[in-house]
Amino acid sequence: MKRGRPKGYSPYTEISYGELADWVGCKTKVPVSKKWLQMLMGEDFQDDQENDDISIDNTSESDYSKDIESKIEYTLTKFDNE
Amino acid sequence: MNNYFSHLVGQNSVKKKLSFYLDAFHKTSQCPFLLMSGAKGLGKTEFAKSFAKNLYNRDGDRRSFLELNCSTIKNNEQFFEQIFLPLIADNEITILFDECHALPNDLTMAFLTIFNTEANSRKTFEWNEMTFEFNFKQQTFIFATTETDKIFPPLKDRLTVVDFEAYDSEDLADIVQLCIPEISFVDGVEKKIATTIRGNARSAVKRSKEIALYCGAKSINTFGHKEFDDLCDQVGILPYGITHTEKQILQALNSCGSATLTGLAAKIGMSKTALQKDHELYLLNKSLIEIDGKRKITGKGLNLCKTF
Repeated sequence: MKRGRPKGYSPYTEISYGELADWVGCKTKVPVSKKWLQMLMGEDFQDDQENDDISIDNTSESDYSKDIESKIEYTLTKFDNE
Repeated sequence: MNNYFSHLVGQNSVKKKLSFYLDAFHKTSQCPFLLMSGAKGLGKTEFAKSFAKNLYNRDGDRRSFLELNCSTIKNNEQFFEQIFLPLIADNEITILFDECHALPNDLTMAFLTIFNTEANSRKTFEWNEMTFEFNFKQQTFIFATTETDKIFPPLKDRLTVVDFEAYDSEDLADIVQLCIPEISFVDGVEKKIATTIRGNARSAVKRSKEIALYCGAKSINTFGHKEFDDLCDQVGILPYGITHTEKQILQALNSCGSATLTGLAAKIGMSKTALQKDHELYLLNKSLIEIDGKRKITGKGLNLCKTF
């Protein structure tokens, strides 16, 4: 029984930046190699992954913002001084 | 010791304990973090509110009272943004965290740090590159829940538990009378009314409202056995305050002798959990059924069935 990937198989495919932007929008973050980006940007490169996860799927992030937006129910009573 | 709660009926041990903390607060400006614990309708919120009403600011004014429903708090950020910064920080205020078993995990963890005060009256809590100042001479924190078993144990350890007891029938009769002072009860009917109240103050208040409506509709201000029997007939009040589902359970057990939980659930058409949680406990408490492997009706339950 044959196991593994067939010869020449790659999990990656090629798409032009313009075509990709048509599908996901030009502000969507896409994962790229840090080394490649550093080579491209030189000194301007900043690794901000700790504060800003690179992710196309941001469902959990938006759920969290919804939680912050939802209102906490409370009643504030000011007692009269007798 | 002062009696701060004379307007509230029953709960004598709670009154003593809270009065002690109020007396101490007036000398020291400090109060332990209280946890009001007990079944629903026993007056946890009402006592917390009365307690808060007796706390004074440094300028002699009564402190404001903020009541939060913890099931609507989703996370730390929402709590600190919407509640702490605008309402609590730098203010003199009493805060009640109602249904505190529903606090989100991250806020529970924050509270472990905040309420771990040793002897200090101030605590600084740092989170998300921000600093939050708690001053326990200015801010009093009270928690309340019916489900203390669901509170994270280390948080519970930091709180002082105030246990609420079930009301006896005399207390319940007093609550009904207190709610409708304009109506006179005759021939001791208030004792009969009390037997139909399901052991808590909230039910007593609801019953008093029904009586007030009945008296209003009939333009009367005295209420006796005849009027109560008529009210029971009209709004479906059953002996011991049992519900119509509980009546069905008794009748089912009366006709079949005994039944398993699954069998009983099938007969009544309810889920097993709802049957156990909402109905069986009350029937057991009133000794109308017993569980000995199977569900059985007791002699008291049989006598009650004959009256239906």
